[in-house]
Amino acid sequence: MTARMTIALLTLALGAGLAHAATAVPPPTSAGYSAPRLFNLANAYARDGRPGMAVLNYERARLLAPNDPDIRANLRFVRTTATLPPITGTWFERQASKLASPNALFWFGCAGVLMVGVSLLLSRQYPRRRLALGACTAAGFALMAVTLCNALAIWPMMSEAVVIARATPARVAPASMADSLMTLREAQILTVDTELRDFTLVHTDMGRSGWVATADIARVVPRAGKGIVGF
Amino acid sequence: MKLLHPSRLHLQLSVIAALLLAAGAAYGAPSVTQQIEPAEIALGEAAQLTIATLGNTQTPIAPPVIAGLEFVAVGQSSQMESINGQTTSKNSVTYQVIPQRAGIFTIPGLLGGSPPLVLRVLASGVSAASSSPGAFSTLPAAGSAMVASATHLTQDGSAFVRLRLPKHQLYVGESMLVDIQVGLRDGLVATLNGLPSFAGDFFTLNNLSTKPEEAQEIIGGQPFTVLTWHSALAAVKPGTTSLTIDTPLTVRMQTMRPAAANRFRDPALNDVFNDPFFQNFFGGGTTEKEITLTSPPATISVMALPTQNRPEGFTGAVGHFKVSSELSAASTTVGDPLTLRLHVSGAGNFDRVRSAMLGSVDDWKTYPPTATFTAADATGYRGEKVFEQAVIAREPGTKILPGLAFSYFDPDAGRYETALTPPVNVTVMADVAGKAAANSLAQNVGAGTAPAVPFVSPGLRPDHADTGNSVASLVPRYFQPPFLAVPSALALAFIGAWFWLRRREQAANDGDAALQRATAQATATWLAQMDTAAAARDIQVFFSSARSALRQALAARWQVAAQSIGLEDIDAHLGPDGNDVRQLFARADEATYSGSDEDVGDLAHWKQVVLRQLKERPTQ
Repeated sequence: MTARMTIALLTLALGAGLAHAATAVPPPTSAGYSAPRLFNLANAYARDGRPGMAVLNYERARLLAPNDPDIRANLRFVRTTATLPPITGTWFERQASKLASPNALFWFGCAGVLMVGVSLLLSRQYPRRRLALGACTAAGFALMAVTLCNALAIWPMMSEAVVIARATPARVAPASMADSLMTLREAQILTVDTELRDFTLVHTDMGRSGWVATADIARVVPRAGKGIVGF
Repeated sequence: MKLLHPSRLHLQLSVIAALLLAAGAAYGAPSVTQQIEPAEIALGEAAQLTIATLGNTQTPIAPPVIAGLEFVAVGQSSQMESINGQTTSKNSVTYQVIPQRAGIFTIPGLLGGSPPLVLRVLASGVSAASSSPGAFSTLPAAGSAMVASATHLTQDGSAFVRLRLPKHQLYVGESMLVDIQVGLRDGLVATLNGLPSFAGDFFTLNNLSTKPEEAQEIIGGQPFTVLTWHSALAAVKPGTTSLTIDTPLTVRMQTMRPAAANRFRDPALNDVFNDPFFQNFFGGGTTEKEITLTSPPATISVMALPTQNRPEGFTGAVGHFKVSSELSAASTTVGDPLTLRLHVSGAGNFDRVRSAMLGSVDDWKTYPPTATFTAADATGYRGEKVFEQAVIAREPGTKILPGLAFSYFDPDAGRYETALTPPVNVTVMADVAGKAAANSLAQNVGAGTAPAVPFVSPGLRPDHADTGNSVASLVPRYFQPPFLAVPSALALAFIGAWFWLRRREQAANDGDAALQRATAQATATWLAQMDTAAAARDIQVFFSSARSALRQALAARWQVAAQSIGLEDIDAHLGPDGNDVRQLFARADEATYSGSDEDVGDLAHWKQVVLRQLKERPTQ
């Protein structure tokens, strides 16, 4: 078997593997997440005067459809109504999180790995076509870099939570009788640290920390098997 | 020469002696001046006594002991001057003079260097503060000067604790600033075992700082380090109570030998050598003992808030407050939120400062307000509380947001006050989405009921059509291990393929090189045999070796086995250019089978034929 045949077979096998991996994803179900469904749910909560749940679902919808202008507009409206400060973040986070949906970028990254691998293998067999294959390699690396940037920008959201109860006290210790350090506002976004029994240690964007009842907050990205609220 | 009369001479000598004595006294002995301001105060107020010492003295001058007056040191200063080599120092100590009863008090001149002072104390209720600038009233408005309770040292004189209060009467819920002072005699107090505290349920005290202010004070001629905590005391229930402050301390007890005490005649030396430092130095032992220091009781009367004329919106705020309001914009669109802010600033119990802001208002949808407090001092007694409320206009037109009311109790005036903010005119423009939608939003948002029929909200963009595509998890796929295995497997497969190809090429390169080396070695052997055969005139061996050398070279060139090369292959690969090779193969067959001879000159020709073929580069 020649080297050319080896590369061709390898590429075919990997392509078939990718296709199999793609089809291995559970089919869409009514219990899953979709950007329109989350957006409509958030609208319903906003109309119901529950800014915490509204912001939570807007943030989740934004994760699936980062370039949707309606999601951004409604999220801004609800935050303004709840007298919360506008969404901030570094330029890198804002730009990198708007590239495309993370799930689409995942496949871009896989395609980048495929392009880099195939072009590097072919460049050994066809040294005279190194220029074209080099461009293909660079394009593959670019796809991988875009995916990596998006992952870095999305990573902080993995530990973000939204206050879904009104006037949630943040306490000095994970106990109901502990002194209250501050009162968190509904729809305020926090960074989740650790959990202990029914309490979660959170940090605000102002750098303050405290223990809040786990039931009063909801993770933007719920952990597997934790239900729709996310804890 | 005129002689003076003896009596005049005596008089002149007396004057000169008096002048010399006065000059000597002025140079050697310190001069003391004292001043009291004001000279007339009311009972419950305090005056200020300043004692200044001019001259070279290190001995601090203590205030006199006068029944009915208490002297509390509040500060001291030192100043040194050097003129023409003579150094003089000026020390001044300031005391707060607190009368215990009304009357006229005479403060004698100290060291005879200053005239006596007179302090007139009027009975309580007669206000002298207004006519006597500088007096400190014990019934002041918030923020006025503190009056300290009496300073009672412990039995061993090692420490004291005292409470400084601005007044002794307050209302339930009212807060007042207090200073808690703990004086520690240097060297006698080992540690402070806890923060000052008080017992009882009449008051609450704000948290005390772990880093109090520190100052030096001289009491009874001894230096004390005075720690001062500033806090706010809030009355909880009505009644009259005595407030005392407890402070846990560890003091050092001297175990001095009896003979060591009063060993010097000079009291000043005794003071110096009885100091704990010298006691320790000379072998005097110390033991430590934990004690709880208690301040002299301060009687405080807490009055209930009057029930008459109590405003409806009163939430328990007691103090002195000012209010103002602002709106985020003067014009808006139906459905767009505005932020209404109420600023309450001043001094008082801000934890009871609350406001419901606007309740149900026609043409406006209001939301529950939020509050933030910014303290202007460390105790939280002064500051500003800002209430924010989101309001949404329901109808277009020129609308009025009503003014806000805030009620509080003024403890100085003894009555309730209600501060009002002016109403605000707002221009509300119609929204393109329509009036019905705005009404629907305003009715549903905050009412706790979901809309029965989906509508287009003026503030919210409309719902999206569900495409049916969904994902099982919100965790991005590049953070999910099963998906992360895909690019990992790809990368590993490509890396493996890369190394496999590289190894394969390397093995192939290694085989070619070995073959070339073997061919070269075999060719060299055949050439050597040709030379040997030519020298021995062995024609058969010569041509046999020449044919073998050619086969070796042609086999490497044509990538075929050496033994299989025959005349047909030579014809096929070399064509007409292979005549010499073909003839050499024929001669070799002829020499092998017929044994014909050749001369030496022919052999050299055939060797050149072989060498020429060996020099040909193999085709790729």
